[in-house]
Amino acid sequence: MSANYLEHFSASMLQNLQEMAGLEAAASQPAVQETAFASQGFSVIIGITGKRPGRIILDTTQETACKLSNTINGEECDEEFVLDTMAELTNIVSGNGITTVNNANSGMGLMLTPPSIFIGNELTIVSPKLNAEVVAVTTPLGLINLSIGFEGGK
Amino acid sequence: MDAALATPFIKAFFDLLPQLGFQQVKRGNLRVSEKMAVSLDVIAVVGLSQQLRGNVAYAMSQETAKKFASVMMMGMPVEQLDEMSQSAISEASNMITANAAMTLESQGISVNISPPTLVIGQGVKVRISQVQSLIVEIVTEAGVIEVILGLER
Repeated sequence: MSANYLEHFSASMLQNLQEMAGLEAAASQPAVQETAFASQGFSVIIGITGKRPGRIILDTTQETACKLSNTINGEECDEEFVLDTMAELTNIVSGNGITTVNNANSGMGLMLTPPSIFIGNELTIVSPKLNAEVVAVTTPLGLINLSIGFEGGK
Repeated sequence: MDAALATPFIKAFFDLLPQLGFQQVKRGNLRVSEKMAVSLDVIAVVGLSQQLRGNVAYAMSQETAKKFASVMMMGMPVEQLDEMSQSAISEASNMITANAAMTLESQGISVNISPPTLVIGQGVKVRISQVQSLIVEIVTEAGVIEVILGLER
């Protein structure tokens, strides 16, 4: 599995922010993510199953999640709506990324699990035994971190 | 969700916890949860794909998490929920979910599971499913573990 798989996820993120919300965003170079990291307050987690199990985390602030949902839907912040929107955004980006990885690596058979969402002021997220990398996506509405980790090597 | 889907997960606790050094494993209350609920402080979430899709989360208080890790580590005192005890809880949630997946497989329901992610905080709001979740309590000498199931066939 090539080390630059993360680029497919961040490219999909930028494209979707552009198409869904009309936002010009920029992605940083991938950086190694520590096993434990502090959430900004709003985290969507999607599991990966198959030959190389792992997980994808979209992490942002509650404020950015709300603003982004408003921009996409044109509605005021309704908690349920914000959750659905952020879960769906993470689903789309993860689906695009995983498809690219599967197409480039035959027999990988990666599948996604449904999103779970965690909201809190002082959240720590820990993924023991995973090698994870994170891309910081800077948008006009705030920072969104996209973290992808797999079991085993890179 | 179908309440019968909880049975393999409860069975997994009864199968595995004695092997991990627990003396006491009892089933507590069962309740239906709102889609969005405030959870206990330490949550291990595992995703499921294929014929059964959704998430299962194992939630417990900080105190229970420390005692749980201590039992798993042969009674070694755990003062802080450090890296080693986080890893122990994560590993237990992986084993329990894998055990339940094998039971489901034997019933003709094929399931793949993702690695666990631990979420630690206070007053964490959680939504693990688009459907209503079931919460089953498992009572051990380390305290109560809430098994939150949001699964769809």
